[in-house]
Amino acid sequence: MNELEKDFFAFLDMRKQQTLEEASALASDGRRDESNVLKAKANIYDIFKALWSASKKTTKDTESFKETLLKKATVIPAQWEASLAAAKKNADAGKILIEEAKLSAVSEIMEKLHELL
Amino acid sequence: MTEQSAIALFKCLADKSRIQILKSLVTEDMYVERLAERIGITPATVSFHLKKLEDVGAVKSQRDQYYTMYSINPEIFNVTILDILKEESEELALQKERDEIYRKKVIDSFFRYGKLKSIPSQRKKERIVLEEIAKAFEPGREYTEKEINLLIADFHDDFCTIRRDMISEGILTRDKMMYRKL
Repeated sequence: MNELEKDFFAFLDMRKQQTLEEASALASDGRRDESNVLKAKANIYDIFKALWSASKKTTKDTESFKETLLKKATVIPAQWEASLAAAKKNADAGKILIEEAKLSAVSEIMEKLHELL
Repeated sequence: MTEQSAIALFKCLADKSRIQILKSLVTEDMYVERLAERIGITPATVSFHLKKLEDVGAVKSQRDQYYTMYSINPEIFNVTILDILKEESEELALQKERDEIYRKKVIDSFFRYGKLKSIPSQRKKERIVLEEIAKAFEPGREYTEKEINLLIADFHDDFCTIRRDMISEGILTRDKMMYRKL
């Protein structure tokens, strides 16, 4: 379990670092708005770290941990899906961009989670 | 273009992707997907930038048969930066308005039925009062001291102080015993 956590957190840290580097490069290139979108994306990696830790605290065995984590990992992004749908409905281009960036991080993370668990 | 809209426009233009979009639109009108292909960013990102450009009036959109076509708004780009700078600042206009209100307040409190009640002790207020009295002098005309004294005496008995203060404030000029309004 600790090995899994180590792998997962290393993945999250690496992706967060890469995303922030990309954001920094965009800002240096005079694309500040796009850089800010990536900063919002970078936060998602921390959120999943928190979800992992919270799931670990509230469960006793590996099976219930997996179940709890996967449930949380579905419920929370569902709010962002809803927010994206609402933004699309209202043609809110800024919000669409941010929600899509957040959800792209979610899909990478979920892929990794399924690979690990 | 107002000062606020100029600031919004400059802020909006300070972005490389938006400049790339405008550069593309200068050559021809385009829709989102075409711009995205050309610039190498996602259609969602292009839409985001186009919305910002549209909000400041830099681009216009028109619904075509299947697509929304975007084009440069020439009205915005034909304005030179010098034209924008020459426009009177809204803040300056507000300041002028505030100054005018203050001026009226001072005049109302120091004059009664066209006569000066007392010479203000505050320099700023005295200057306003002196300028008001100087309206009685014709611009460009030369006056003798006696004529000046008579005109000032219509407002206040202490015409000597007022005449001297007008000279020190640069409202009147004296040359070879002749006075002229500046």
